Amino acid sequence: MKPAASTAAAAPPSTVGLWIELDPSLPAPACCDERIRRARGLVAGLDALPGVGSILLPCLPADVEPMMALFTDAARPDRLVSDKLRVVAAGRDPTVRRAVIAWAERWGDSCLDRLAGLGATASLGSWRAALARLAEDPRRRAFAAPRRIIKLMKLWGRLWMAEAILAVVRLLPPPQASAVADLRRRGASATWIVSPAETAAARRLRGPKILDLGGSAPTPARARPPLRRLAGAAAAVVAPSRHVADAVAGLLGGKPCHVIPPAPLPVSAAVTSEESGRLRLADELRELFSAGVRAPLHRHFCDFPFERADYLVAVPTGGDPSPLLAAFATVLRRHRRSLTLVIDGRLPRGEGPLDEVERLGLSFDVAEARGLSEAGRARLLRHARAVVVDGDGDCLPAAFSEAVALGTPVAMAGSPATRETLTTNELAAAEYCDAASGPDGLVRAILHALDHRDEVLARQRAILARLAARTWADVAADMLGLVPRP
Amino acid sequence: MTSPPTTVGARLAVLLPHAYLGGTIRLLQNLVRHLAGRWPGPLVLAVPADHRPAIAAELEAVRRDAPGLEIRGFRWRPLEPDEARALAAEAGLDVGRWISGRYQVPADGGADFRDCGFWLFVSDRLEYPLVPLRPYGVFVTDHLQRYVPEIFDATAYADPDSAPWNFLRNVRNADLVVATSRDTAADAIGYAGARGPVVRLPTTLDVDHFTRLAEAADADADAMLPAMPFFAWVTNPSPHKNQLRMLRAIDRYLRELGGTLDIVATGVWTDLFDPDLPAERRAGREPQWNTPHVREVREAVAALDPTVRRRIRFLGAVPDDAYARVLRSARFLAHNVIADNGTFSAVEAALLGTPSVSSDYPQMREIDEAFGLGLRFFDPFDERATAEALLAGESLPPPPDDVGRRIRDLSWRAWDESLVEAIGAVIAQDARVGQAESRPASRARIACL
Repeated sequence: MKPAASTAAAAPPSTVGLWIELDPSLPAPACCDERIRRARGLVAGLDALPGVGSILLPCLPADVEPMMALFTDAARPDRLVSDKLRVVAAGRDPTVRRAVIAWAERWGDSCLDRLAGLGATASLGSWRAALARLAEDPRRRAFAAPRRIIKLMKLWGRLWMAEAILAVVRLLPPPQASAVADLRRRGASATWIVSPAETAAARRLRGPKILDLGGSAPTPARARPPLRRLAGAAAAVVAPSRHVADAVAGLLGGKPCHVIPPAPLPVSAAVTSEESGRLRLADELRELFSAGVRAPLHRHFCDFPFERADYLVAVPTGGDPSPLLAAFATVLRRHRRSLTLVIDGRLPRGEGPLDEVERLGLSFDVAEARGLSEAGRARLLRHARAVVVDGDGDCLPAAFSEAVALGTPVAMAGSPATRETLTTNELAAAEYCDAASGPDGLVRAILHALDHRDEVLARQRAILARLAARTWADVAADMLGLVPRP
Repeated sequence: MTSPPTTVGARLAVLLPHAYLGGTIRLLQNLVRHLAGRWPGPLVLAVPADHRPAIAAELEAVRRDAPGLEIRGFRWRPLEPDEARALAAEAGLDVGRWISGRYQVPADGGADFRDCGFWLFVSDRLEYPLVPLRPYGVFVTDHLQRYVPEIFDATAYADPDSAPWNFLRNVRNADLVVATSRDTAADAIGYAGARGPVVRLPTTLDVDHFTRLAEAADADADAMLPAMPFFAWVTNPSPHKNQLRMLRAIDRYLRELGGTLDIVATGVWTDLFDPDLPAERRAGREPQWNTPHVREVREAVAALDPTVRRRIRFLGAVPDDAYARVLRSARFLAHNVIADNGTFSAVEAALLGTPSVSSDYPQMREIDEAFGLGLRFFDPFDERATAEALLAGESLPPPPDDVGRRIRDLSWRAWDESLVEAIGAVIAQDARVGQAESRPASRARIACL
């Protein structure tokens, strides 16, 4: 695979902006968002380009502090990763909007929690079993069944009220639009590298735009209308692999998509040598789960001894997590590996994945770790028995380079994009399988990574060394080279 | 309030949390005998008050071996969260978060065991979270639900006040966990999330039971056995016993692989798998007869080819002497579970000169290793592999001769000081925390209860 454009002749613009739209329902930016980690790489790359004078990273006022924390230089905690980087506040304060969303979500979770306490779920089909349990209750009194039905109906009604509030809030103008308007008012102009977003607000930014599909490339299944509108406003569209470029070709309104392969992401070297890292990780995870909503998935882990338990880390790629969960259940039960599965981030919302966790009886074996600090996330990868990547990730996902650099082998169900990055010999290794092979292939890959840890790691370190020949400066230069200079 | 004993040599309570029978009672007896010989202070044995008459003979037997033993009946006292908080505050118990909907404490009508320095529960099956007014330990034989989630209703996993949650919560907060195998010890940490030390006892084997069994094997029980050579399938109605796959494997063994042996299934309620069981023989067992899983197994039996169906005999539970006769007469014993705490049936069979085939899981590997049984293992998820193992069982060599010696070497009589020392360390630690914080009976902080 080769880069789509030669960049030697074009001088980089003096100001480059990075546009990342965070999920408005989340309380703050988090390092498990691959777009943010990719942006860190791009900042490092842009910093190395001589013509780039400043790098803008606009975000909503409430996000400035957490965003700066995510871009802090681990070696110099009082500085950002680049002296050229400016995290600028733009737009309306989203605090009220987020508070409403958080309140409605908590309300909904609390209703689900109380329904669970009655042995029911949001599905009306579960009520029959919930009422049957009533007969076994020794404290049962007259009219208990009608009272229980009324209680179930009240909780169900409140749950849907919470959903309705969330739907209404989502219909309101997104806060990102106000950020763009603010930047325009202030005359901010730059060459913008735009990550895929839920809205098309970025198309109104001043200056040429490069739509960068790396990090969380939209698949046709997840494609949304904003992609076409963003592509229409962009000077260039780039994808990390030919597979991704082909997959989105029909969604770009005829715009060509250039392939620019990524470079390995940098990791915090300090984490690899610290002695108390596992204990610090356990403390951070417990704090995370204690602070979360009192949903069943969290309550089991709020005082869990992570420092004593072996675990796998799974990196969600946005696709259906069912094969991953099924593979984990097989590794745990049939092959008897006593491991917890920690999700780096969270499973897709909606009833499906969480119901699947319950259906498989994995409520006490699967933990979602969203909101870890940068160092905490590095520790999570560092102390895992193995990292598992399943599904349609783009080429080698960032987690591959991070985990291997931190000394943890990766088991992977590779997509066609992966095959563009790895050589035939590398793909023949047992720790890889074709995503199309389903849970069985992934089970074999996981078992191999667990049972031949050192051998797998040595092989994957060699791959990482090969990939590291390409730097983020190369990536940044390739991208900026696509924009015609005035 | 009763002031807490805070020194080694304090009164130690061993509690049976439920109305168990059989193996768990034998374990309780041997645990008490072991502690009676080694614990430097007074010993209390607590059993559910309603259950006391049912196990009177066993209690009397253990009292003979441990003359200073005090036996108490008790009931579980359920507590609403407010009551639990008040009781904990009174006892100086420091709890970070109260997360459960209901709690419980053991009540004996007197000091409610607060005159004891340590509570040791012989099972982790405590229905509600325990308010630990004293340091406590839990005996864990397995976390079966991790491997066979079907043993609980699916909705129970979504209900944070249900039994699966509470079993784990009680292990989590225990000051000491006693596990019976390497893998159970690993699960106590990696699944239940035990925060306290985990002590492993080598085996919980009851040597006296084995001696009785070997002597009883000559009893006449031929009437219930088939005329043809057979293998013994020891099972029960729990879904973790993998009956449906086993039936399909038996079908394959007889019809595809040309297996020559008949099958004798024995174990509690296994006669309920027989579709032709006369109504009078299931009298009083209608709830078990109608259990969905039992019904499913019965339907699977009924659906077997008649030539296969005729060759399976379901004995149900049989007396020890008849059981010994079945094992001794069998060509081999088949043990098929998805997961378990390991069965001593294979050891019993070996003692009686009968080899075994077993599903492959860590606890059984450990037993095989410890007793040198030479088991033939198979993958319980793979029916073909199971059928092939059954066929291979026909020509297995007899087990080694030294099983009897190994049983004696590995019985509870060979337990070392590790359990007593671990309990002593917890009590001493508790006393130190109490002194440091100037609070009576104060405990290390419990994060969530």
